[in-house]
Amino acid sequence: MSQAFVDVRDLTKIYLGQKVASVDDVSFTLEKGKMLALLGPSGCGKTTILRMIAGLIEPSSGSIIVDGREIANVPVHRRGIGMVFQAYALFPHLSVEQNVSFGLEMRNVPRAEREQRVRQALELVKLAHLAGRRVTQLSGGQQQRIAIARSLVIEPSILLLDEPLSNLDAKLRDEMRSEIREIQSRTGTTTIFVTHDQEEALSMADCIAVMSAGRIEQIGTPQEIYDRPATRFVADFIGRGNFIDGTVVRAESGTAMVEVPGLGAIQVAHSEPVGGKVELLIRPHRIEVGLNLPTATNHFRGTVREVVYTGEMRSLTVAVGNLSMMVDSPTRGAGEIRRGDSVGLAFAADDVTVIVAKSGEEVAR
Amino acid sequence: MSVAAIADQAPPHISRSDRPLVALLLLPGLAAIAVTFLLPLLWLVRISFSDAAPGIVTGGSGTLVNYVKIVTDPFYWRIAWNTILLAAVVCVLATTISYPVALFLARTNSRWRGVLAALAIAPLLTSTVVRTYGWMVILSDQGVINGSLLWLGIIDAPFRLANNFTAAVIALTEILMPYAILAMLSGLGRLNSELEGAAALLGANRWKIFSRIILPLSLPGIATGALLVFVLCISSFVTPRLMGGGRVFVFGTEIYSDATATLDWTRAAALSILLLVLFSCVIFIYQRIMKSIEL
Repeated sequence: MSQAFVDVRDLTKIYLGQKVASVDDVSFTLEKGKMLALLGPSGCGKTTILRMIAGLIEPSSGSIIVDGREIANVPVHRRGIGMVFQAYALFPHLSVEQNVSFGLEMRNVPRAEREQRVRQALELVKLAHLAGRRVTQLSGGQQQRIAIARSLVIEPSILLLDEPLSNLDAKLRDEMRSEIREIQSRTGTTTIFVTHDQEEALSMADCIAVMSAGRIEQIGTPQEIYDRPATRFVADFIGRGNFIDGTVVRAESGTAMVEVPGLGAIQVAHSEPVGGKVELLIRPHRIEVGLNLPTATNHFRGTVREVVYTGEMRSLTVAVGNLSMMVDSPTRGAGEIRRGDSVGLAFAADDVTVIVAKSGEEVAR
Repeated sequence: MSVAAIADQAPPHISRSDRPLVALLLLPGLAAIAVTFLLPLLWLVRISFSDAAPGIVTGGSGTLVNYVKIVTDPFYWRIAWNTILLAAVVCVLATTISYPVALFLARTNSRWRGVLAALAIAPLLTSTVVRTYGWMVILSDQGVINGSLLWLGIIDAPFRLANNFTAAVIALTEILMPYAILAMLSGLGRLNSELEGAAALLGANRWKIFSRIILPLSLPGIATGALLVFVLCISSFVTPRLMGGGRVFVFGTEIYSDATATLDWTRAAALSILLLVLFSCVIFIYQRIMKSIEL
């Protein structure tokens, strides 16, 4: 089933009186049962996309096709889409049960079936025992679950989550992260969620669309996004990284040498035209560090400037030539490393991502 | 504004060492209330139990005679009925007409919102007497409405719009609307567009959103607005007196004429106390209603 279930084409939103598009010609597809994260900094247009799919904001142009049906002109209450709002938007005058039951009542589901489905939905979010409570008496995490139950009970074609974890404290956030993922895979509901938290996107989504200034910068699996960022923006936004400028000095099939001023040559696993200016990305945890490392392809020596111990990891700042490199190393092995030590750094050609600067635009290879 | 809204807020924590300061800060206000409100009220209670001759406020012994006279006189039962009827009709009308205005003001994102809200309550800037005279000009036999209808030949003789119960209802409704709008606005705080969006996504059309979400969440505001109108209406006397042309008898007009015309101050005092009892009943009912709709 690799056919697109959600197909968004050329979606654009220009708010009244504004010159710049908040959502600029965005297209993406999503397979049935998958979970997509719209990830980006605040104001990048991700929530606007979500609200256009929901029907709460009218698109300026473009089409939204869900399950083969164009929904851009369907009124909100006939779209059959579930949405969990950032502040949950539970009805404060209704009980937990009545909140969950609301969508079924609107669909004129008979009482007996309604009660059964409400109970199932509450069991799904593990809150069946709170059915009679007022929603104002619930904690943030419980309200979140009720909002999810209320959206899922109508068996929506797609489920939309707007910053689902932003209103929860850190511990609860981790819990709800796996909880939401589990509920999603159990019900098989095609889900789109909006977040500005890269960790949330990486850990929950099957697929991530990284957005900036109303456009999708890159769309791919979490691993693709992390390991092969398409643009400098994506590389910068997702995870930490060492960015190094250089010039291609030699190229063969599938490999190239990049000369970095003040450091030396770095071998990369991509063929690039000789003389081209490139930017290299090396993730801190891909660099091996040790007092005595065997000589490898990309091997440099440097001096430890700073050590930050975080328990599982040791974050080092190492001066190499006239560059400063971030290196994450597991605390086990590699021996004791102190400030001022002379250490060896090594990384494989595969672990270097090449971002090519091309007349203002950036293209990844 | 709303009694329930104030009761909702948790009392601020006052530490033991702050108490003298708090007492000191409360003193001027408490003193003002005691001197200008509590003492006169106690005085009024005393007069109502006095058997002194009309026009005299000192002396006389404690007696229930004023109350007995009022309670056994069918005339006062009619006045009580008139008062409550007038207040109820005006309350329903003013609340019904004000609700859409308040709802619009609470929900609009227009940048004119502030101006519109100010316009809605601007009538409070003119005195009740002036506005009552305004209505007399509009509703009288030679007034704007009858004049126009006669001139257009739609009617042959003027409608009796002035100097009766209807006139009092019309004028009071308009005069009390700004209060209702203000009170409702303060009570509509729980409405937000997210709730309407959530309801729409769950399949509610515009009517269902209104009847299932907006209206129930408006009830505290509506109740507060209605209470204010009802209470102000019960205690009104200028408008019923001027608009009623001496034919509308309510508590307010009766107390006024007893105190200023017949100079029966003891009866005026007793009627005032009875009105106060009526107030208390209304407030009590209001609080019960608020408790049942407030979450």
